[in-house]
Amino acid sequence: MRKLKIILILVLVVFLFSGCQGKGEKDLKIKTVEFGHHRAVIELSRETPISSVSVFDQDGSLITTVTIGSEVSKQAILFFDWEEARPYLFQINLKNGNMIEKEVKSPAKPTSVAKFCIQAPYGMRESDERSLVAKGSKVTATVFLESYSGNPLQASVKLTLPKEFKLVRTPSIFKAKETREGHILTAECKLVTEFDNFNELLEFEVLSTLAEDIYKIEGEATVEEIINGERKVTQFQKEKELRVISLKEAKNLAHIAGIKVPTNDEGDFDSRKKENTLALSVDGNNFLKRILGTGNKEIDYLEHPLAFATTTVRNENQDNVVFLVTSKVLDPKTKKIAQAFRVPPNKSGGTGVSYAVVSVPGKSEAKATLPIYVNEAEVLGGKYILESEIKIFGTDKAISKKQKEIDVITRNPVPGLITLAAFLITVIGLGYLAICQKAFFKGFKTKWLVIIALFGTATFITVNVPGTLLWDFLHVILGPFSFLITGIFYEIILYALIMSLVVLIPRPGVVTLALGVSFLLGGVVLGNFSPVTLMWKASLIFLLETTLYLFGVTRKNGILTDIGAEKRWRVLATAGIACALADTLSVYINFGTTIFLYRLYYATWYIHTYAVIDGFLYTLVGALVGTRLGFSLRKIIE
Amino acid sequence: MKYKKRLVKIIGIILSVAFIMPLLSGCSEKKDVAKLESVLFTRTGAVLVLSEARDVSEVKVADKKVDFTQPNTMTILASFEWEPSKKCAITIKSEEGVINEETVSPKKPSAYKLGEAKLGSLEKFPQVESWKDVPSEETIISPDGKYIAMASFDGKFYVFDNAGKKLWNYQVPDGVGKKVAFSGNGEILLAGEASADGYLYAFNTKTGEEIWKYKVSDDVGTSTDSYWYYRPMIYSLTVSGDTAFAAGQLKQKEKKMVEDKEVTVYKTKCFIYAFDVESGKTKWRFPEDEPMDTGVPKVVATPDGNKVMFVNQSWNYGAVQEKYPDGTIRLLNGETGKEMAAYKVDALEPYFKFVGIWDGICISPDGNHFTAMAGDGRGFLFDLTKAKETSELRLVWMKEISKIQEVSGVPIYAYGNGTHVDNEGNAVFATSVTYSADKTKCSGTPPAVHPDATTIFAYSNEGKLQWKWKAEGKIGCPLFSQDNRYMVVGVAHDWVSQNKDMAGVQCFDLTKEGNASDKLCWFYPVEGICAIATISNNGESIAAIEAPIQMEDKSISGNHKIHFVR
Repeated sequence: MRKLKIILILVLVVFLFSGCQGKGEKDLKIKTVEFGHHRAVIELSRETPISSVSVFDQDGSLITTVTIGSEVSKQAILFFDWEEARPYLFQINLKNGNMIEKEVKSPAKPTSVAKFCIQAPYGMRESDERSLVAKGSKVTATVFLESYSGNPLQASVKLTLPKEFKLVRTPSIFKAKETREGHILTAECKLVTEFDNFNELLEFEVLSTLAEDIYKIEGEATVEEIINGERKVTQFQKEKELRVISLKEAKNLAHIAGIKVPTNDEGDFDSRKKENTLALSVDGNNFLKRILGTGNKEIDYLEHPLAFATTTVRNENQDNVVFLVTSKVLDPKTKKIAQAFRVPPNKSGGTGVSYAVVSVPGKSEAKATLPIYVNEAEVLGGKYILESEIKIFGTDKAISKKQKEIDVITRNPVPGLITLAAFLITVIGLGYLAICQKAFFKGFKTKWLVIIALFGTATFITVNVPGTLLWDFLHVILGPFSFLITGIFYEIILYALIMSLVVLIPRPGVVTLALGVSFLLGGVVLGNFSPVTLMWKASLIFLLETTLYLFGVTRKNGILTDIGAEKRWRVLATAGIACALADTLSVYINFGTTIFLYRLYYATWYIHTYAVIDGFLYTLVGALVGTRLGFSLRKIIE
Repeated sequence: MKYKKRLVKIIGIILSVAFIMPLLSGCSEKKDVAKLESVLFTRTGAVLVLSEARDVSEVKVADKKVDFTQPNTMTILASFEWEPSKKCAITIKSEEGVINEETVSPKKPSAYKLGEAKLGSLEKFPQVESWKDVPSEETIISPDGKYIAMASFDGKFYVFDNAGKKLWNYQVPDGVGKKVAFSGNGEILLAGEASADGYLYAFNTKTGEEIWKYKVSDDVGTSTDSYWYYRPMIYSLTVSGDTAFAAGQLKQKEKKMVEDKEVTVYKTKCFIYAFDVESGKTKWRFPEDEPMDTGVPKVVATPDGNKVMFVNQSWNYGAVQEKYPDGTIRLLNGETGKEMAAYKVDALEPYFKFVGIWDGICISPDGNHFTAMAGDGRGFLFDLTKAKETSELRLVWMKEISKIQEVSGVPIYAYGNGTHVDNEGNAVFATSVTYSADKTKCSGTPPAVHPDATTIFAYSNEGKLQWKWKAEGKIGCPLFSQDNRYMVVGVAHDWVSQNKDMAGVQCFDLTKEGNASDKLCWFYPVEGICAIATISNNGESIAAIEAPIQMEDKSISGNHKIHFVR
């Protein structure tokens, strides 16, 4: 019992004092504290809401406090002058009122008075000790010395380049001396304040006759500062290795894996577009937009490139390499940059070509997407060569080049002209019918008008209705070759009816009325009424009337007057050819208006195939059948 | 029976402890006496946080009365000078009693966050691997330090009090807020938008009531383009005394035949206006009749309004003949709007076809000096003392603040961004991030940060480098307190190193001896990026706009908000 009492009391005491203990964040702690130039960077074990971070000196005095403006933080940077080998207490004040702290001793050595580095070629990382260079390249290297001192520094820099290299461009601040060790470049400078720097580019050539080997570039920097009257000298040494390789080996280590064109600016190829083809957009010179004054409002920071070409660069090297990727369009005849494809002067940085800087990790690929600019007023359609090239950034030798033949399709003014002609024919035709209605119908007997109306209706029922109903279905099955089936209706049956009517009533205007009735019925009943259909029908009517008249079919005392047996074949052939010619032309008109108004693209061979089969052959067959039928009907009437 | 007694005893002990525990537990606090919870030393004094709410009547530091304000009843903002690492006796008097506390000042001051206000969402914001889409917003503090105004890309103008409380906002109909400026007495807020109308408004600062407005689109035309840059807008705005100087422009892109070649040109119409702040009456307009055919990103004026300066800017790269060519610095008579002098800066060929002077212009308060910072990294100092007589702007010196590095034929440079000049002609220049010349979205990232990128340079009037500071992130234009003692910089990310560790506000006390590190008062980090920070005339209040940023792993860091800092 006594033991039980003691245990109970102990338990109660534990409960009593548990509230007095700080509620520490169990998993949250100061992970690292890194001392740098006038600063300490504190990293926590995880992101957490912090209100402020303080640092205290070894005597407990507060040095500084940083107020944190973030909702959550994992890192804090405190700016203060720390001394070597001194303990500092870092305190993290959390937003929930709690606090974590850690005492950390500063490094025994102060931060360096300066930073010295060499990049050969330019852009190589500080951690990279060795870089690759192809023989015959000009290499741009940089020498950099930056002060971290509060005092002015007197500095001297010395660079030793292998004698096998040839100096191409040396800044005037350097003095050059040739020795047995190599080219020695020396320079003196004063760094007047903290962060003041000596930063110079130089260029040297790795001759193509050089042996494939590893060559060293050595750099030395000496800085002197006066601290409390005493002179303090600090020396720095850096060494960079250049592995000189043949161009062949360079190509094995890095090459262009592929070029895709056209792509968007993200490098994605649009499968709806034809590969290796650049089609000029109509937008830029859209006639209607100009008339309406709407203009081009596209917000395109990239200055309206026509398209983009994406080059894939493969790096077989172990290390990361930075490449310069360039792209240009060449004239296949001259092999020079095609005039119309010159990069705008404000988009090339003076290089004259589209360029991109791309960093490729070792044993991997990266893509560079480059714009293709075109002067639409100057460009001619045809074949061109797209050439992509890669260089190691900081050198001038192309280590890989790839060419691709591309097709450039320019805008064709012909569809526009065809549409204009069709439009005028329609307007004039409709206008004539409206104004000269009486005169037009004056020459027609009532019974003729009835026959024409009947034939028109028959055309609607036997041609328009089945054609319209089957169109979509056939389009699904046969795609763009559905005309092979629909042509039976729209050409053979149509012309069979039209020509049989013309044989019965061989006069101008008959075709107009018959097709007009069919068109109106089709528009009202089936909804086949659009500006394109109207223009096409009007053009067809005009062409048919014209050819039939010119070939003597509908002319007064024409070939259909007094047809003897011996003349029949002649009449059949003449009528057939007249209709075929008219319809073939109307096929081209139809395509022209569709291309222009709907901005569609059709392959030339397809248009010709359509015109020959559908426009000529089917029409010819239909016209022959119809003429023949017309003879029979005429006999019955007579 | 024995067991019953024992049981009763045990229950009694438990009940006693349960009664005592709340009293003795560490979670409870004795609240019978208020005390000074914390002291945070700022640049201009200290923030005293009390343990209890008090209406303070007097604050003394080292037995001397000091000025103070109370943003809330537990916080005191006391203004006084202090020295580092010194003992400090603080006395706080209120009706409830006196609080005495002795503390030791730190070696460096700290920033104090007064508050923050969330802003509307942004249509676009930057990615850490890109230089684009850093919102070009503006914030400004009234001359008396009582109000903070903001023109935001969320489409609003905001006004806050100096404790961070929102007083009112105005929604721009179909556009973005572009510029704000206070009248000399702080009672009127001028605000310019980019929208189909391009209005310049004058609001009552306290109430938000519209006093007058001017429609710039009546002069330059209108546009309903989806991108604000191609709409009529107030591109720049500054107030001197009772006059507001504004640049109103409309810029549009179109294709044009130039010598049988088709080029893209930026058709621009721009006027410089002088408005009476109270009435909105147009005092003058430059040019009087036809607009300039190039834009004006910034207008500066002396406090007395006698001198107004700006630089023409164009993206046409010399493709077309311009009446007001790119890179022309102009000095106008602030009273009449007549041009007094001009100076043409040529493009740094072959690298650039443009000069690109944007935010980088400044005129000294006495109007005797002018500095300009070109995008290509050149800094210029001009002497204006005899400009009126000679009709010339005398170039004192030009420096390549940051050198262009041509590598594999590609020019790599640190973009020249901001500048400041004082009455003695001492100049500050700031560079932004690293770019390759004529960069496009496809140009890729330069392989290394330019050595002089994201750096602030201070030069004497003789052109000698005084100090230099690496901000390690994209710098907005450095802004100064009226006495040039304090300088603040809003810092964003560095897209080349893909680092935003230094994103926030960096504040400097330029009276401190030594290098830039010695002048740095504090760094106030934000979670996203800080595109702009501003400081009040007296240097006490600072406002900074934070924008979110998309990191490499596609996560979004930060929010769109405004911070109020001491």
